[in-house]
Order: sequence, then C-alpha cells, then structure tokens
Amino acid sequence: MSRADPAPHSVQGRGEKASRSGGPFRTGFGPVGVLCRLVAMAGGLMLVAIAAMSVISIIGRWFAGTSIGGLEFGPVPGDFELVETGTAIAVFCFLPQAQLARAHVTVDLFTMRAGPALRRALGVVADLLFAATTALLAWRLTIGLEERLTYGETTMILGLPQWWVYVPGVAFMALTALACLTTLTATLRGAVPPTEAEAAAAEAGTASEESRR
Amino acid sequence: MSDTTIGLLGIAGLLVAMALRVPVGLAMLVAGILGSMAVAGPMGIMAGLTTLPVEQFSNHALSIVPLFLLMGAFAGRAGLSQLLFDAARDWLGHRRGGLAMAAIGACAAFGSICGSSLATAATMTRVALPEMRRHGYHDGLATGVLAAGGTLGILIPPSVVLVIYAVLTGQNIDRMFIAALVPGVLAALGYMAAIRVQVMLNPDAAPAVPRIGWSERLRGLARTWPVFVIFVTVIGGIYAGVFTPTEGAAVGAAATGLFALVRGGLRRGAFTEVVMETASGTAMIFMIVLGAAAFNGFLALTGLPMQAAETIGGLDVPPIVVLAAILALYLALGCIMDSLSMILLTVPIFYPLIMALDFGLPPAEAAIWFGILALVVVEVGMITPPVGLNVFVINAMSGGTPMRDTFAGVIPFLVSDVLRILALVAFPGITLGLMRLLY
Amino acid sequence: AEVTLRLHHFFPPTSAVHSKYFADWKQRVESQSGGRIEVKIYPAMQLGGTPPSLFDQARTGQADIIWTVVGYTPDRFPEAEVFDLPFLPRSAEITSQAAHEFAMKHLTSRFEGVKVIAAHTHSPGLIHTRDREVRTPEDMKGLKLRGPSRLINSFIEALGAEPVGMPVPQTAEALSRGVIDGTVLPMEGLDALRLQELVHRHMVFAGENALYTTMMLVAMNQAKYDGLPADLKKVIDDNAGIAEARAIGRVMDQADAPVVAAIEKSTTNRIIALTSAETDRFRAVGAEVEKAWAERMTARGIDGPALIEEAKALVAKYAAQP
Ligand code: NA
Ligand code: NA
Repeated sequence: MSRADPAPHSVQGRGEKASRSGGPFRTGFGPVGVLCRLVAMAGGLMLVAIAAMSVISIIGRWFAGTSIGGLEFGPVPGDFELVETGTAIAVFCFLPQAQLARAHVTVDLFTMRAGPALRRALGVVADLLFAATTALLAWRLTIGLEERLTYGETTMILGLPQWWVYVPGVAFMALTALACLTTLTATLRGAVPPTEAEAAAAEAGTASEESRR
Repeated sequence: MSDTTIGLLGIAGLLVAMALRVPVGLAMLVAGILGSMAVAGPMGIMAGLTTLPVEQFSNHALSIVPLFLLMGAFAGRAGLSQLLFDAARDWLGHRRGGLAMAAIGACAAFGSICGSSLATAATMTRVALPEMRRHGYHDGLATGVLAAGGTLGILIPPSVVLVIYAVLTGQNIDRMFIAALVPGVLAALGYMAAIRVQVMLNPDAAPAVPRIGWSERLRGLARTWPVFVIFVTVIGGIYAGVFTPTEGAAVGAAATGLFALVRGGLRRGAFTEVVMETASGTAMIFMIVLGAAAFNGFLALTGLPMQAAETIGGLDVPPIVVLAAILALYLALGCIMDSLSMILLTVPIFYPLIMALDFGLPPAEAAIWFGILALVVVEVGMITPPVGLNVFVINAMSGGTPMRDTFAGVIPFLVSDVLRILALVAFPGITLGLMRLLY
Repeated sequence: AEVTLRLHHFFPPTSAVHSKYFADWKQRVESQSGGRIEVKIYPAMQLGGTPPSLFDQARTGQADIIWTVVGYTPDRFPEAEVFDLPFLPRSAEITSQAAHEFAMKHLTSRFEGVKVIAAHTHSPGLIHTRDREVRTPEDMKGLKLRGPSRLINSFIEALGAEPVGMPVPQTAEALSRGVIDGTVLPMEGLDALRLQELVHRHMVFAGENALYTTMMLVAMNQAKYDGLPADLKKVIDDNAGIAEARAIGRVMDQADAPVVAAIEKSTTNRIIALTSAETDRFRAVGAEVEKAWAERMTARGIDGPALIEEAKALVAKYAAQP
C-alpha cells in the first residue's frame, strides 16, 4: 500500500475523469455527494483563511510596537488558537468528501489480484466498519459537546467557548457515516472499490492542471 | 489473559484487518478501541472518544500538514514545474541522459516547495515524460527516473513525514528540516549518478538533446525565481525566526496561492480541484493520526512498547545491529505499506528503543539522526515492488508502459538509495553537520 | 496485585515531581497496602489525550489517578483562578497548603467525580527574557512574551508587552528563532525545557510574594476509590490530603534551587533583582488585574473579592506556620 503522503485526488465530476477513475467513487453520489463537496469547499476556505490570518499576524508581530496612521501593529490576538481551532474544523469538513473519493489508504498486497467479487465483498465490510465507527464517534462527540456546554470551558487567550468546534465535529462526523453508507450502497449496486494502483491512476489524471493548459 | 497477550493479539488483529483492505487509519482506530476495552474495560475508551477527534485534529504542530498540502496543490497549478524542468533541461540536456538528470533536478527543486512525494512525482511526470519520450528515451528509464525523483518531494524539506516524526518525538520541526537538507541533496546527486551509470551501460536508452546557449540558459534559470523566492521565504523565514514552522507553511500556501492566481492557474474550477486535493490528502493523514492515537494509547495500556525497549536494551548486541534491524524492517514493511502509516505505527515503539541505546551522539542529535534515517528508508518504499505508489502513479500516467519495465527502471535508483542509507548510517555527520553549524 | 492504579500525567519522566514525589507515593501506597495495590505511573501523556483532557480522564476512569494544571481548562474551575493572580504566592510549600485548603472548601462541587489526593501549586514563576533587562514597566514595551495563564497574559499586556499564546513545546523553538522574546515560568520549568540557554535575564521582584503560580491537582477516579475495600481506602486516605500538597510543594521548591544556583554561577545568565520601589510599579498593575478579575467573577455570580481575601489570608496563615 501506500500513499506515503498526501495524494492529489480527482474529485470533480467531469466526464473524462469520471471514466478514468472507475465510476461512481469520484463523482456524483447525488445530494449526499453535493453536500459533501460543499462542506469540503467550506473546509478549504477555512484553510485559506488560516493562511491569510497567519500572514497578517506575522506582519503585525514583525512591526509590533510601531503604528501607522494611528493603527497599532501587533500580532492577531490568539492567532495560535485560531489556527488550531480552524484546522480542526477544516479536517472535520474534509472527512465526508474523503470517504466518497476513497482517499483513505489501504494495504493491497493480498488483494491486488483479487477478482471484483472478492473486492466488492471486502469493500462492503470495510464500509460497514467505517460507517459504524464514524457513527460511534459522532455519538461520542455529542457527549463531548454536552460536557463542554456544561463545564463552560473556553480557550486560553481569546476565551472562545470550547464547544464551538464540537458542533462541526458532530455534524460532519455524522455526515461521514452517511458518506460511508453511500459508498456502501454503490458497492452493493455493483461498483468495485478501486485498488491503490487504480486510485493512483485516477489521481494522476488530475494531479496537475498545468500541462493541460 | 495478560495485558501483553492482549497487546500482541491487537497487533495481529490490526495486521489481519489491513490485509483485508480495511483502510489503515480505520483499522488502527478499531483495533485501538477494542484493545483498550479488553485491557481496561469500555468506560475509559468510550469517555476518551468524546474528545479524541477534536484533540487530535486541533494539535497545533499538525496544523502545518494541511497548509503544506495546500501549498503543494497551489504550486502544481502555478506552472512552476514546467519552468523548473525547462531550466534544468537547458543546463543538463545536452549530456547523455541529460533530460533524465534535468527531471531529477526539477523534482528536487519542486520538492523544496512541495511536501509530498506523490504530488511531486505526478506533477513532474506531466512535464518531463513527454519530453523524454520525444527525444527517444526508453520508457523504463524515463518512468523509473520520475518515480525515484518523486521521492525527493519528501526527502527535501518541507516534508509531511518529517513533520509527523517531529510531532511524535517532540523534536523541533525546523531542526529536522535543516538536517534533511544535505541528505536530500545527496539523494538527488545519487540519482543523477545512477542515470550516468545507466547510460554508460546502455547509451541508446537516453540520447542527448542539442546544446543550449549560455544566455538562454541564464534566462531560463531567471524565470524560476518564484521557486527560489518561496523556498527562501519559507525555510529561511523559519530558520531566521520571522515565523514558526506552521506559520511558514501558511506563508508558503499564501505565496504559492497568489502566484497560481496571477499565473492564471486557478481558473475554471481549478481552485475547487486544489481544495479537493488538499481535502483528500488532509483527511487521509488525519484519519491515520486519529487511528494511531487510539492504537498507541492501547499499546501503552498493555505496556508492550516499554517491554520491547527493555528486552532489546537488555540484549547483548551492539546498538548498530539494533539500528540495522530496524532499518531492514522498515525496508521490508515499505514493500507493502506507506511511509506515513509506518512512521505513525512504529515510531512510538522504536523511538524509545533507539534513545535507550548509545550511538556516541547526544540524545537530541540521535533523535534527529534516527528521524532522517527513518524518513529515507520509509521513502524507499514508495518505489519498491509490489506496492510502490510512485511507480503506480507514473506508470498509469505513461499510458502503456508495462509495470514490469517501470519497476525495472527503478532498480538503479534503489541501488543508489541503499548506498546512501549506508553512508548516512556510517557517517552521522552528513545529517547533523549543517544543523551543528547553524544552531 | 489486587488493584492496579494507573497514574497519568503530562510531565516528562525526568521532572522532579515524577521522579521524587510520585515514585515515593507509589512506594508508600504499595507497601502500606501490603502489595495489594500496584501503582503504574505513565508520564508524558503516554496513555494518550492532551494535558487539558487529564481531569476528565480521571473523572471518567480513563486513568485512575491524574496530575494536572487546573487552569488548562479555562473557566471550568473559575474559583481556582484566584491562585493565578499576580503577587499572590509565596513558596510552593506554603502556597500549596493554602491551595489545598481553598480547594476543599470552594471547589468540591466542581471536582465531582474525582477524589482529591492533593491540590497544590507549583513554585513561584517569574519573567525570563532573552536579553532585555526589565526594571520598569516601560522596559516591557513591545516585548513578545509567552504567558502561562490568562491572568498573567493580561498582566503583561497591561504592562505594554505582547502576550503570545503558544503551546509549551514550541517555546524553545520560538525563543531560539526570536519569534518571542521571553517566557513566564518557574525556574524548574525553565530547566525542564532547557530554556536557560535561550533566555538569559531572570526577573525577580522584591518582597515575599512572587509574581505568579497556578493551582494543580492530583485526583483519583471516584468510582475506583469507592470500589476499594475499606482497608485499601484507608491506604489511599493516609496518602492524601494537605500533607501531600505540602510534600509536592516542597519537592517543587527544591527543584528550583539547583537551577537558581547554576544561573547565579553562570556568566551568560543573570538574575535581575528589582528594588521594592521598582517592584511597586509592577504591583500597581497587578492590583488592577486583581480588580478586573474580581469584577469578572462578580459578573458570574461568584464573590470574587471574598475569594481573593480568603486566598491571601490562607497564604499568610501557612506562611506563619513552621
Ligand atoms: Na519537500
Ligand atoms: Na513499496
């Protein structure tokens, strides 16, 4: 197996890619698919916002103590907290879409040459396990949410309520469980989960835009 | 049943689940949850799960990961790989095997702004493979070069795998990056030497292309300025103390994003693709991080890592033998596993073990040295059969090259890898020299 | 053993409390129980989770006993924050006893679900800078300092410095690269992170009360305790309470001593001892922070001024005892 590292994945529903990437795992999935992609986009915007905020904070800190036109320079208060919290929210946003895109790494050694029937059977088991686990996590996170609400914990610098991050946590962990059921349904209807080699091939299809231009 | 037995059963269960195509992160999570229940009852782990995902996802040091992924995705859209390859071709192309060397050089340069091996391989393949084919390079050589070159994405800082190692062991990320620099450049030079040997043995595999004039070479080099600016800003800024590594990644993402935007690389839904690429990579990594947290918590409950460290520490063998055994195990695991999973699974066990041994280095240096060695050996797994993801990607993109040819094309680079690993083990100064100089 | 107690904390195994206090506590409990209790100590968050989750780990039974900083979950134990106030603490041995008595009176309902082994404080913390000599509030202007708690952050902010919030493990890196100019820690904490090679000026205020401390807690899962047979409960009881708080405080004070000695001998590092006139200007700012805290508590329906009064009185009471 193998993705030693973050692999670029094709996701968008353009015809040519969809055909290359082995059918319904990379595009479509109806309303659930649309929702997952929207949520992933929100996570992406969150990351961009984190990057922008960090740059502003670095500039502010670099010129700390000076002021231009009455504007005092200084780091963005609680910048570290914002990065941590923002990253957590972004990761929760990415989980549902990653399941639809089959982004998670698997070990193919013993199943590389397995026939489609066996791979589908194993895919059903893995999706069921994934759905059950993410549902469990969504449920446990609601308890975490409840406790944060009860205890009123806040962050160190900004005093932001800790429960905030649990809301997208619960919502998108639940959506991930739904995404698992969606891929499960597709597998039951005949789709064959891609091997790592096939996934890699599909990734390569969109790994870089530049040469197409 | 003793805790030790449960621990061993947990490891066995994890391996079986992975062999049956349960995603690695999920397999670790489930094994960790069930194992913890077996050792300490369901109460503890169920309570732990109420906070575990939030804790793991909001780890400040890991925030660097999605930002580096975003940076790499933007870099892919900014047309930088083409500029880099063109410049390298102008300088090296007229030699025999020169285009292949140019591909290696461009991979190294691209690796300096991209933290991922697969993204580097895929991006450079689009640019360099058609060119090599046009000039009559053999497919096996051309695809092998790019598969090996892709590993430079991780070997040359910034590097996602190094970040994870640093977080697991409490090392400074900036020192790890500095330490990775010389071994990374050595890897690039080693790969070029491997190409040289290959074309000496088989001159037909890699014909030369016409020599380019100096003024044109300089102009091409000048066009690659964004890569140098971004690399110097990010790594230099981290080293000079303008910002922390995570902030450096944020700066890099912002800079490459702006550059991609200016170069028109974000038109027509390309930004969506950047996000989806980052989303998949991020979710994949954090899923493994989450699973590893659960599994390592379970292992700690069983006491296995401590026992293993004690047992091996008690063996009457020289430390270097233990190190060699670990590296050999990594090479073997690398044939079937990916580097990140290997690091997350094994470092909590091997790191205390290594730190308990005496390599004649101060502990802080031993930690960094072992980290770089681990990085290098796990990254070799990206190109070893039967499962080598870089090989899969490039082979798929090449359209029609038999997988066997690509794996055969990789062999000279594997030889170069093994020689480099031996050198890094024998002379820790290669890894630690620059760091000693700068800190 | 009949009962295994897993003790979890976030400090490294080299820390003084781990190697001196907990090792001793383990030995006492095991021998007094005739070997029927086994204590397994997991330092450095080996059982997983993050330091802020430690309290809940004890409450929910993920760990049987934990040692944590109460303020790691801000606003959850608001009364405990009184021990964060500037210029409140004396030595850890004195302040720990005050903290324990205070906690047993005001925090028992918030500590529901755990049995308190000891509430205590760490040794007095001070401001360390890379090279700037701080003697007046003006000297603080523009300094980027990592602060340990919200109250100390507002104190240094009121002095014109920039409080930077940053995880503890990153401070060394941030200091060496100049991202921050200093940090606020007890001497032992400085040594544990090997920061004395990075910060060379250490600011000591005049008078008996030092800059700051914070409340810490050793606590056991209540259900685990309740499930023990009476004679083993007694073993735990015999090794819990104010005497334990005092012992931990003493260990922490003692851990400071060699660091201070090394700094005094060092040619690169210097202790900046402020005169009482210089200190008074900082105390005036501290008084404002205290007032703002009291108001914030009052707004929450907690009698802030009374808590401050009581904490100060307790510190004075234990300072007067031999
Ligand atoms: Na890199
Ligand atoms: Na491999």
